[in-house]
Amino acid sequence: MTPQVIGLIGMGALIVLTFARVPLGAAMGIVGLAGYAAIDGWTRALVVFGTTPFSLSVYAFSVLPLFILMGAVATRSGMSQELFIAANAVFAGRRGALPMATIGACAGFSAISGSSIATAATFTPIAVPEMRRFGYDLRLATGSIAAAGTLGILIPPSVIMVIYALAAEVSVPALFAAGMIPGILLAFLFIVVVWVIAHVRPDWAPASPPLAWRERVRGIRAMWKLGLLFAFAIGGIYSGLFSPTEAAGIASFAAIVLGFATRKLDLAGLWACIIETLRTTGMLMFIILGAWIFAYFVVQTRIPVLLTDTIRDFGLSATVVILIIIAFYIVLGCFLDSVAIVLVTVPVFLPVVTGLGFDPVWYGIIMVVVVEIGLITPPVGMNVFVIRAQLGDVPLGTIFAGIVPFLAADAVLIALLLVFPDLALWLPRVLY
Amino acid sequence: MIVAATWLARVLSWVAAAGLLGMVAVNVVDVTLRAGLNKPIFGAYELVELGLAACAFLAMPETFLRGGHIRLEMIETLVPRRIVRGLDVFGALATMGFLVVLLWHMVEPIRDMVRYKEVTFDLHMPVVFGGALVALGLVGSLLVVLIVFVRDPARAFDARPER
Repeated sequence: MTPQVIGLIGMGALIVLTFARVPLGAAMGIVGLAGYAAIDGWTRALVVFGTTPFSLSVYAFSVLPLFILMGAVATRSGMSQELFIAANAVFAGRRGALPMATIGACAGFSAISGSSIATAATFTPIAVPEMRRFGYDLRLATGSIAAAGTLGILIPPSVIMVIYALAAEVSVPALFAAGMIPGILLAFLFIVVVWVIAHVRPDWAPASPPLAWRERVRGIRAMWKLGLLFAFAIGGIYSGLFSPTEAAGIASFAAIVLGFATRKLDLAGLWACIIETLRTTGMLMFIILGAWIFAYFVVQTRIPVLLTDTIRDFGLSATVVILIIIAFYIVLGCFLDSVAIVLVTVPVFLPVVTGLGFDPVWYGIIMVVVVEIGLITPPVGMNVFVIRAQLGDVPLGTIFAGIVPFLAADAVLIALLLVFPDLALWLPRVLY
Repeated sequence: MIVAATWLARVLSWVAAAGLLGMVAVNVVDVTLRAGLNKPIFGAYELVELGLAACAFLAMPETFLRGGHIRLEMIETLVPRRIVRGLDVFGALATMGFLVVLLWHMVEPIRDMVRYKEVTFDLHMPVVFGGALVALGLVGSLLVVLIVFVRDPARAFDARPER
């Protein structure tokens, strides 16, 4: 049996184990070990298998729990509420101001939280009651939060980007820089979608009362804590003062100090943040462990080489291949969590994509944008479930219906990134 | 028995929390000393790596206990509850098998760390310190899954601690 055939059988086995509800980390580890052994013998496979866990406690991975801790502390310290007030101060008085403010606040919150689910979960109880009070249509209210929540993984720091960077062996700071412009652009496109909805269906988006300039300035000034954390987390990296890990450590510490100084955080709250961070880190490291073993197997199968050769034989253009990969990701997003998608597919597709001449940093951004779509589309749509869990009286169908117009913004962003790759690549080039 | 699993996961979480806070502290002190006195902590990288080993691996049992690992949830809505419970038993067995084989084959690398007295580059700290934390986290994970499985095979990833 050729390595490629073993590889395809392995992929099939992974699908079967995944559908059998085996935790994905274990499923990838089992398939990785058995597949590697089938190609290269049990002796070598077991050596790789037994040493992989030790190779994960390396410095590069330490950025993950530290950024997760920063996001958890910032959320518990009530910075999200201040952000919403600040964003509302910008948009107040316009038709559709509250969904626009929600999108603005989610974009700002993304700068301190690397998680889409956390972003959506944080803003649902803040924004939805306000939108209900002013008579907004629930489809627009919930759809805007679900969509804006996805900015959490596109605007740095982003947990998914760190995982992609580690799996693809690209620079974390370069990837963070690459996500900045597409993230801001997507937030802008989401706001445009709200603007269009507000004009097509004015009954969905009533105008909120305008604010006096003094109140607007006061609201915006409340964002200073976010600005400070962003300066530590991202500014420190690009000024050359800190490595990503140091930046994450300093920003976590700053978030804790700010939380205590402003009396928004106590010891019990800090402990809850630590436990939340540990659970998320434990989950991530287990799936990364399985993914690393799986990646060794994929390399042995030479499937990426086979895929590249097949593409060459069929004479497909690079753009067509990327579009096929994007379509594949969208389908995969219907079944798998975003972390799992990145870890399972990077060893297979990255060599193909780089072989076609695409930049791995650019591909990382495309992947994050496409994975985002999976967070808001059925049947998995984690952001939607998080919102639904907090709004017991809103049917899932209402939230999914509200999301549909925002998917257009995602499609426009993907098209822009395909046509103008520099939207992602310009900033890393300037900063490095 | 769930109480035992809860306590095991909790104690390991305390050590993991110490690792996490240690990573924060090392980074803050290291950057401050470097910026203020041009004297960074010697071996800061290795201390952070040790903190990560504690934080990442000793947190895994708690994640297993709370059913926090990523699984395909969609199937729950597609097949009868009885089949879901059967799949959960299979999933628990597969996970335990994975962890047993993994731990068994981690023994030799750990023995090598001790046998060849492997130490870190800067601090000359025995490499087995970090290795032991990694192994301890995976042993803890196996025990937690096993305990919950023995108590209720179909709930091995959906356990809630008894109060």
